[in-house]
Formats: sequence, structure tokens, C-alpha cells
Amino acid sequence: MNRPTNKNALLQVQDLRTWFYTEEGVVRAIDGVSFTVRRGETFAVVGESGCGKSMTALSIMKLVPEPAGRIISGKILLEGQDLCQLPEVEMRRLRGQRISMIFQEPMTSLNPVMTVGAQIAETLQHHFSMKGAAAKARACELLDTVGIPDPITRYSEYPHQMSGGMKQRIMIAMALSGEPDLLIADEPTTALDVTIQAQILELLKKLQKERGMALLLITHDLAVVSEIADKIAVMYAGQIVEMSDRDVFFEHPKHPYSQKLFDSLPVKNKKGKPLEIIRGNVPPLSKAFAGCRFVNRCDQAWDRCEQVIPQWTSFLTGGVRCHLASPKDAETRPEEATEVVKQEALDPQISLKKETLLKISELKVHFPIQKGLFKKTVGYVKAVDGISLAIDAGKTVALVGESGCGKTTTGKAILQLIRSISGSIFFGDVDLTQLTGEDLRKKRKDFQIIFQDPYSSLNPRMMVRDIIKEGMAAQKISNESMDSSTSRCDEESTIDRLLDDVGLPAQVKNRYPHEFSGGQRQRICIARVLAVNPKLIVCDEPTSALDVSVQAQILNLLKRLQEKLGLAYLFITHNISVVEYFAQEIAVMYLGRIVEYGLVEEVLENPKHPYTRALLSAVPQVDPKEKRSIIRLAGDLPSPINPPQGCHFHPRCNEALPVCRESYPPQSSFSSSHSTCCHLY
Amino acid sequence: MTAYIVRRLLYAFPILIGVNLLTFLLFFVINTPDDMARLHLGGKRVTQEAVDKWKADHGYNKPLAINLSAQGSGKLTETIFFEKSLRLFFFDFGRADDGRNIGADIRQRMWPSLAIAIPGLLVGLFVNVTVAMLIAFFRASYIDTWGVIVAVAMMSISSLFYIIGGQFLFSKMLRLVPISGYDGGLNAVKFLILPVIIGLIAGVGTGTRWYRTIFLEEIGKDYVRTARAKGLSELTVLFGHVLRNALVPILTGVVVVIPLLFLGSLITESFFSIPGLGSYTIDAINSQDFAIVRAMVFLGSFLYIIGLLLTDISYTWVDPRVRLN
Repeated sequence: MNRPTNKNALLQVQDLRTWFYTEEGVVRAIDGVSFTVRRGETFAVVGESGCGKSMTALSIMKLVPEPAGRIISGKILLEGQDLCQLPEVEMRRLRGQRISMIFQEPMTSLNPVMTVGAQIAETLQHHFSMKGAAAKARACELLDTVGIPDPITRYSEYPHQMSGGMKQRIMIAMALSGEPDLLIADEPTTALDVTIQAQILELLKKLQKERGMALLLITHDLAVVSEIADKIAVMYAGQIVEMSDRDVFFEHPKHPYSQKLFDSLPVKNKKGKPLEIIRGNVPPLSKAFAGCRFVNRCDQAWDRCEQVIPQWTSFLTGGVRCHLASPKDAETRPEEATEVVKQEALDPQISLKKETLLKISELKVHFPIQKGLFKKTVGYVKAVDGISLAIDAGKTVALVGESGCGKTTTGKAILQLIRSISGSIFFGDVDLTQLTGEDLRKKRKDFQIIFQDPYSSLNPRMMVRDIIKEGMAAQKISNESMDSSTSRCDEESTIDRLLDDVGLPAQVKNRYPHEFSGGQRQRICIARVLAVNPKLIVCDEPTSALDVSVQAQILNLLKRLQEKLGLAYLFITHNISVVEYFAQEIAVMYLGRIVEYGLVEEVLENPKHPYTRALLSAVPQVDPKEKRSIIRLAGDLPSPINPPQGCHFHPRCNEALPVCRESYPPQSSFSSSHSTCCHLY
Repeated sequence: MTAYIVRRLLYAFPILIGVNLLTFLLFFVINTPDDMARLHLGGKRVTQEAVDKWKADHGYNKPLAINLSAQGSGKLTETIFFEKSLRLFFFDFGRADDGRNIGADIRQRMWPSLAIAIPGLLVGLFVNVTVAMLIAFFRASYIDTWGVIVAVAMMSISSLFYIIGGQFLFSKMLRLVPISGYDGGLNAVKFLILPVIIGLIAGVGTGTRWYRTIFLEEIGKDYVRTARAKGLSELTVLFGHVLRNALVPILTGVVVVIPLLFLGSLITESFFSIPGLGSYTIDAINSQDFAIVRAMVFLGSFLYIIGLLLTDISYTWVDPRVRLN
């Protein structure tokens, strides 16, 4: 396998095996991983959850959770010195100084009861014996380096006083404080908004260039990889299946798994067609493999793949672990296996009749802020501040915006889970805001919600059968004419049919949510929603907690159900590429108001509002050749308690006019569907 | 913050009124003054005259809530409720059945109570945190397993056993300290050592197990991984990061009991004959002196309310995220 004798090699991982000893047996989380990171290079490890990429990072830091996890064999050479042989005391000197790490969740990765300054100074004191004023001065310098305004004030603030992006900058400052040769970034931007993600990636690129440090980037996001990586390794089931230079990889991925990953990405030009999915699941890592680990999910597999473990085939810029790549092995492949099972293409959506299902006008949701001895209301959080929106039957409207802009509150207000303070929500000819009690409860069967996190939105103590049945029982959906025994039969067959609709076998109804994977749970959530025959489903980030290949499955499912049942979706998301693929209309929200609205093609091809433009420019592109210039937004989203005077966006806007400071812009239209609120037009 | 404290203190009033009414109901309506008199005078063969005389002597001869025979405001003030119950609000506890001033007794007896309760709390906290920290340091090893087993065993044994066993071992067999009793000034130390140690042993199982859970929960959090990734040693991680976060639940659990320390411990004080408020309450219960019991119940409720308020305030002190609003 790839063993360069290159002098430039900073980190060489050779045949690393990290296993976990659990009650169920040995889990081979990392099973023979080798790669080399050169000085000053960005090396990306890509893969879906559970493939062992984070564990690889922790193994290099020698922070594998003990005693269950252990590095069984292999070498981790940092400039020729094997970290596996190093005693813990020596290792501690390396950690944070020569190798630093930043983590996925900046929200929880900082100590909540220590000031951020003290947390940075701690590293300085530990590695350089810097104390007091010197440490503080250096820490402030680092805060300045990572682009935190007013470092001296920020030094003595606590993590909870900062936004997510700021906290990630603090993490980076902390990692830089030891002046590392290698920075490991484990999903550094996954928990952040696209605009913030763009800032952080730019910062990492800049720092890397200035300091000549190597960056080991762990991510699931191919777009992020295409933005900043030099070399890429794809991991699957504890092994690297493909390694390549970025351009070669994005031009021509060799391993069937890599190809599938690309195919399952929702992008514009796949609109109207179902996404490629990777069937099946990642195999359990607790058993030994006789053949290729991907064989059960591979469309190009033949019997050799099941019988012989594929060896690493090297080529100029990397290598691949697949029988297809080795000409000798590929010869054994029978001809007929080339036939790829094609999925039936969905008909492009043609829906001529236009029937407005939901019409929201001037909807406002304000939360009071109470203060003082008698809890006087001193202000309002204007979460949703006058939005108007219409959804046609059978259509998908996407609601996009940064976190905190009021997307989720809008969704909940439509469902009357939060009551609005003014405005109307007409569902057909009924104003939902006027409904109460029993009337509202009965009406609820027409509109349902799917939540973001399928792990916490299902009751863990209820069987799938009961989860699905609950809504039906509450809405009394059953054939009342039949006697009780046949109606029970009927109920069971309805559950079976619903599970079949979402692509789950009927037997699963007697199981509990924890027995399912994230994608399967989201399917159960969808089945639960479908049980009451809704007309509108609010999808609140339904795929953002899922892997790309699972996301493709869920999107396909939602699309198919829409065709079949004529459902309308309000699709709340921050993922623009999903919108591009999935929705017909798009509403861009900023600080409680819709700033631009139109057909997806209109808004994405020809964005009018400066905020929409900035948002779209920040979305990383999968194609590395498609160069984009990011429109940088200054600062963070302002507080919805005190939105800026005039246009809410003007303090961050590059094109602000004097009038923007004074009045909120009126709506300007560009076509019957496309409109924006901006003084520029 | 000030607004919060003021509001909380205002909330305390209805609670105290509720406590007061409830004690009134228990001590005067359910257990009437006649019952009290008969209990004191002994048994059933007591003449009504003797009962009336006892009631007159102790001030229980007035109507419960409304005195129709009195004039003007006296209709309300010359009643048992006003004189016995309402006065508690001003910490005027009145006189005990034997004529002693309860307020003066409490002021005098709270010192011995504090003398064992405060060292007991501090030593207990220190030992529990240290042992729990050690167990957490050696987590998932034999030390951890056996530590938990011993802790469970110790918490399963009744504290009465520790008291009697301790007195037998240290005082009777080894003759290191007196079995029981109390003395003023520095002489008190030799009487206090044994109760403090026994209190510690009786509580160490429960405390250690609880704190261990808190520590292990903190150790599993992301910021601990960050601290390790900085290259800090395990001890620095434990003391510099984990302890400070774990102190949030620990300290608030401790703060709530601080005001209650004044009341002393019923069992320890009576077994070791320490003239504190705990034994005062027990003696009062034994001698059916309801004036004292009433005073102690009211005082206990008041101190508990103060304890809860202190807990909320101490949250803001140890956890920068908490804002009282």
C-alpha cells in the first residue's frame, strides 16, 4: 500500500487497527488503515457515520475511549516517531502542541464554567509555561488571529455568551495556541450555518497557508472536501476504500461506494428524477469479512467480491480497494453483472390545476420577555414578524435561512403548536388561528409535522405499531361500520400498508424505536404522519441529521409519496442543494421576515436580495472547478429582540443605501411569482 | 437579581402562612387543648376542673379563632390562634409547658447543634468528594467496582448500628473518647469527635455513590475530551475541569441543608446526650410539650425556605450560565 519515503511526510499511519471490546463482542472500528499526511497539506477523510473516521482522529491523538477501545496494532508515525510506543506522559507533551484537534460540537466542547480566555491560557501555561499577563496577551493575540472582534472583552466571557461560529473560532484559537504541525478538524463546520461554515473554512485555509501546518479534515460533506482538501481518503466500514488527489477524485471516483456517494447527492440537474440510493446498511463491524465489505450494497459486485477480500491497488495519485481496479481480478467478472438495476424514473411532476391549500398572511409570533419584581413585559422576541406565504396542493415550498431566523417557529405556528399574536392562516376556508379546542383537534389530521431529529422525536417506550396507531385513534380514523374484531384487523392492515408505503417490512411494527437506524426511524416518523391522511406536511429539517445516502432515500420517499398522495410540503431547511433538488418554490427568511420569494429556478438562478446572494454564495460546491467568490457577511445574525432599524439586513449588507437605515423596504416583484423586499429595486 | 430575591421572599409569605395554618390545625383543632391537658395530667380520671386549671395556667383557655365575649379587636386577638400561632411570625415562640422561654432555649441550644453539624458537613463533604473523585479516577477498574460495592454495603446499614457500634468500640473497648455528654468551650471537642466520625461513616456510602455518578457523567462530556486534547494530565483534567462543573449539582445539594444545620440531628444528639436542638425536639415530643414542637416545626419550615432560596442564589455563583430572571 501507499508507503512513501517522502521526506515531506509529517504523519504516517500504517495498518492501524483500533478495536472495541464490548459485551456483544469485538467491534473492529478501524481495521487496517494506512495513509500519509504531508507537511502543509490538507488531507480529508470522508465517510458516513460509523465508518471509523472520528475514531481514526482519536487514535492519532491516542484519546480512544478506554478501556473498551484499544489500538491493537499498527504504527502512527509523527516525523518518524511512533506515537503508539510513546508513554502517556510524553504523549501529553505532544497533544495540543504538535497535534491539536477541534471538534464537531463547539456548543458542548468548551468548558461552560470557565472563561474562554482561561481555557486558551491553560494550554499556553501547560506547553510554554506562560503565566499571567503574558499568557493573557498571547491569548488575546490568538483571539484576534481567528477573527474575534474586541478580544480583550471576549477574553473574560463565558462560552454561553457566544454564538456557535464564535465558539468554533475559540476552539480553533485554542488548537492554534500550541502552534501545531498538524491540526485535526473533526467535522468542524457540521453544526454551523452555511454562512458561518464559509467563514470558518476560509479561516482554516488562511491559517494553514500562513503557518504551513497540515490539516487532517474529517467530514461527511463532499462539498466541504472539494473546497479545501488536497488529498482525499474515503472510509467505509473501518477501512479506506479509496485515496486520491482531489481533482482526480472529483473527476473520476473509482470505488463503487465513492461513485454512489456522488450519485446520492441531491443536485439541481437531478430534479424530477429519483436519487441513486445505496441499498442496505453498513455491515456490523463485529464479524470478520470473507470478501469486500461493500459487496451487499454494490451494484457491480460479482461472486469474487463475496469470496475474496479485495487488495489495495495503487496508482499514481492514490489507490483503491476494489476488485474492479485490478485488471487481473476484473477479468473474472461475468458479463451479465454489468447490468445495473435501474430504478423506475418518476414522472416529472405535472400538476396543472392550481389549488391553494394554505394561505398565511401577516403572521406574527412574538414571545414576551419578562423582567423585574412583577414580571413586567419589557419587550418581545419577534421570532416571526409578519410573513405571508401560500402553499398549493401537491407542491413543495422550501423555507430557508440561518438558524435563529424563525423558520421552525413559522412551522410550529402553522400547526398551531405555538399560537400567533396576529395574522391569519387559512387552510382551505378555515382560519386556523381562530380554531380552538375540539375543532382544532379534529382539523389537526390535515396538517402534520416531521421533526429534525428522528432519534428524539419517537417515544422510546412505544412500539412502532402504537406510535402509528396513536394518531389514528386520536382522529378516530377507522371503519366504524365494522364490528370490533374486523376493525382491529382493518387497523392492523392499515399499519402494514403504511409501513409498506415508507419501505419498511410489516414485521417491524412489534419493535421499539431504538432498534432502528436514523433513516429507518425517519421512515417511522413519516408513517406516523401518514396515518391520519394529512394534506400538508411540515418537514422541519427532516434529513439534516442523516447521512447523504440515507438522505437520498428519505428524499426519494417523500417525493414518491407526494406523487402518490398529492401531499403538499413546507420544507424547512438550511441545505440549499436539497431545496434545489426537491422544492418548487422557495422563501428566504431573515430575522422573522421573508426577504425573497419565488420559484426555485428564479431565486437560485437569479437571486435579487443581497442576503439571498450571500447565502447562496456561501454554499460549498461539490465540483471543485466551479469557483465561487463568497460574499462575506459581517458579524452574526442580530437579536430578534431588537432588530436593526429600517431594513433588518442593512448592518451586514454590502450594498446598503442610506434609505435602508430608515425604512423597511416594500415588496418589489419581478414576475408573478418572484418578489423581494429590498430598496435596491 | 435583587428583584428575584425580593420576589422569592414575597413568595415565602404564603408558604409560611400555609405552614402556620397547618400546624394550628394539627396542634389545636385535631389535638385540642383539652387533649393536651389530659395527657399532661395523666390518663382519663381527670376532673374537668383540673383540665380547666391546666389550660388557664398555660394560656389555652381562650377560644380557638374568634372570641365573641371580648370587645373590639379583642374578638380576634384574644384567641389561641392569635396568641399562640400568629406570634410565630415574629419568632416569638412563647413559653414551654414547664414555663421556660422557648426562644431563649433555642438560642442557647443551637450552639451545641452547630458544633457537631458544621464539622460533620464539612468533613463529610471533603471525604465524600475525595473518595468519589478517587473512584472516578480509577473508573472501570477493580477499585471502581469494589468502591461501589463497599459504598452500597455501607449505605445499607442503619445509622443506629454505626452509633451503637462506634460507642461500643471507641468508648467502651478502646476508651478513647467519652460515650456521651457535652461540655462548654474547648472541652466539647472530646465529646464531638465520635458523633462527627460516626455521622461521616453513616453518610459516606450514599454521598460517595451519588458524587461518583455526577463525576462520571461530567467525565463523559465533550469539554473533557477537549481538555485532554490540550495535553493536560488526567489530574488537571479532573481538578481543573471536571470538579468545577460537578460542583454545580454538589454545592447546590449542600447549600439547601445549611440553614437546617441549626436544627441539629434528632438521632445523633439524643444518642450522644448533646444538649442541642435535635435532642430538644425529641425531649419535647416525649414529654408532649407541643409549644416546643410547634416552634420547631415553624422554624424548620422557615429555614427550609431560606435554604431553597440560598440554593438558587448559589447556582448563579457557581454556574455563569444561570441568570435569575
